[in-house]
Amino acid sequence: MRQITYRDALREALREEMLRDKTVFVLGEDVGRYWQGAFKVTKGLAEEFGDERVRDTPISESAIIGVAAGAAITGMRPIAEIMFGDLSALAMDQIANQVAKLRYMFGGQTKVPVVIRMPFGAGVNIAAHHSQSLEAWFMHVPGLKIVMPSFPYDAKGLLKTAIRDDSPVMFFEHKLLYSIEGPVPKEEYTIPFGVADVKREGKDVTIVATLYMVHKALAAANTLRKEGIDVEVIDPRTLIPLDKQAIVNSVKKTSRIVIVTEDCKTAGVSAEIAAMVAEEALDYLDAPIKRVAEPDTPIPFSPPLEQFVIPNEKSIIKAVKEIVY
Amino acid sequence: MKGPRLATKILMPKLSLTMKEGTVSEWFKKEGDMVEKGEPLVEVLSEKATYDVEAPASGVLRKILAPEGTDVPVAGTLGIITAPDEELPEIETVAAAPKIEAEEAVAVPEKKPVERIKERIIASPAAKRLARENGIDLNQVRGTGPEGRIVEEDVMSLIEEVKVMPQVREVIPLTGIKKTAAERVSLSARTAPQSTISMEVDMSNAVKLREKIHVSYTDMLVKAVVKALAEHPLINSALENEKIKIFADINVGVAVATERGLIVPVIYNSDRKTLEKIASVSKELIEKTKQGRLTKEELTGGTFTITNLGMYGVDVFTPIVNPPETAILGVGRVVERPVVVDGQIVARPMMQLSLTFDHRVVDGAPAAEFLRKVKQVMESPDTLLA
Repeated sequence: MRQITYRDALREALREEMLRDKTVFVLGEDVGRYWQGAFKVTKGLAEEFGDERVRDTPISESAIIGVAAGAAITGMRPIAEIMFGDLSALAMDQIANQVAKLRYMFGGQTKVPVVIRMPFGAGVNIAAHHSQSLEAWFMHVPGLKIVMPSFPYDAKGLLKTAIRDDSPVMFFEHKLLYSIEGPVPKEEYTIPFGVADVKREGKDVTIVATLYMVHKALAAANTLRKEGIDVEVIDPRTLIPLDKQAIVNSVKKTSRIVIVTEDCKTAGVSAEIAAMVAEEALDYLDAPIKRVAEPDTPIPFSPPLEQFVIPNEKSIIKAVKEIVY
Repeated sequence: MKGPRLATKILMPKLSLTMKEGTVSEWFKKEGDMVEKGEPLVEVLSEKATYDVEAPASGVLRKILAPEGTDVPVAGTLGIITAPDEELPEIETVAAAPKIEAEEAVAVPEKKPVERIKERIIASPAAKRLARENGIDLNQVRGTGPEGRIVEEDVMSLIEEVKVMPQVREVIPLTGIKKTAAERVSLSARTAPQSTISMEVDMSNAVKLREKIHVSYTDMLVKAVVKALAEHPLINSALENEKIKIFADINVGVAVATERGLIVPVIYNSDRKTLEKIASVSKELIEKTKQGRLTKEELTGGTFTITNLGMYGVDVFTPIVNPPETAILGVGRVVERPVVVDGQIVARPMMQLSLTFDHRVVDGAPAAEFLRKVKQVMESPDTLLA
């Protein structure tokens, strides 16, 4: 199969959906022909589809999401890009109180088919305002779906599903993933929401990891394999809806679970998954649930300190060994 | 008010995948010494390595549970660290062995009681579920997880163990005659080194004699034994308190199988009775035995025992000496066999005798002489009538 980057996989999904459906359009800061997107995801789209469908916006996240919500209500399918996930805070009222609730507030008389794309994650030395992983904020807002693809194949298939979904979808990418390559078929495909992917089968311990952490978990699993510990790595791919059954089934098989996420540990995604496992699979746990996540601190600018706070292969291996006895 | 604090246990580490237990080789601290978390506290030895176990907490080494030289299973407790002002948790003292009768206890070295800390069972939810599903009592499971936590695998291995145990249909308590018999054979096997020799007897003449007078082969053997014992008095004895008592009386017991178990009524003064008298007393005793009407006197005072399994087709066996007696004669069946007589193969009624004796009292040669005498008498049974 051909290998393409995560960035190209996303662009293919945008392009194919724009070709398929005239109501699909892109808007955001510097997504147009002059800058082509901060991470070059929208490269070439303005040339192909015109400035009307690839719209540069003023530096106002609140306006970007407000415009997208209004357009969606009138029958369009906007894909809004926020340059850094951290800046979603500026659009929080539009996202949490408008996009997420409009359909409910109007008794189902309208729908809000918005996709809001943004990159999360640390590791590129751009400090506390551009490195956060804030997915847990949005998990706490009913009405939003949350997608976090870790591979090019997942990125393309899930973005197409997000664009076709009639609900608002938060689509979270990771800065360090844009350049990774992976197999992506030329043929049309979509990936349904709520279906986790077993990235690696194993029998001794389950690691549930999201986004870039999936890659670190896989690296840890390879190292642990050499030491005789057989790790199963599960990527939920969508946090809302969450494929609980896949996680529970894996725990029933391995009796042990480590949850690896890049967000802060307190009240984070890992807390939600851990609570779900405790509620639904307690009797299958042979060891305490382990979480590997970021400490409750702003992401430091200093590269050594930044590396210190991000979960890595070593901290994942340590957590696994604490419960595999 | 101070909040409750937990004593910290010092545990036997698992130094290799296959390690099951380790030996405490040296304590670097004494009971009552202050210890700092992380400082080497005790050296342990596995098959493959020595290892310094570090103090898991700071405080006072309150109790050493595994002194130097002790073998301790992995995750077993070596000692306890508490805060300086903290009381030791409730300790249950468990005797290592059941109480021993006072007189016997003198020779046994005093056993140090084993101390065990009473605590709630720590088991993983998965282990609890598996135990519940399989009716396993977690008290019976040894935990191998951290701090002795019971994990799924521990319950699984017990289930596997239980699976290979045979199913029990019924349980018969050992009481009455069975209990007495069990105690006596155990005493015999435990105290007397025993050896069995066997000899073949030509029963042609004994068979002929039985056609003339109404006696059993066992009756004849009682009389034959009496004659042999008269010549070999050492066999008619009992070893007790490092003394061999040679009896003046010859009281031959005859083992009788009953539904309640094996009973040995005694023919008193067998040496003073004629063969006919022995036969009539024996018949009466066997009758009373089967009806359970024997008196205590009729059951005690034996000096030698005869046991016959011939009626079941047995030829040779190794009876167990009836303590405190010195020997027991096992009687096989009488059966026609080809034997060589004067260079000719002829069929003769033959019988095997098996003599078990207490090797502390007699050795093989005198036992064989005794048995040969019994054989000679049985082969010339007219002497029985004398």
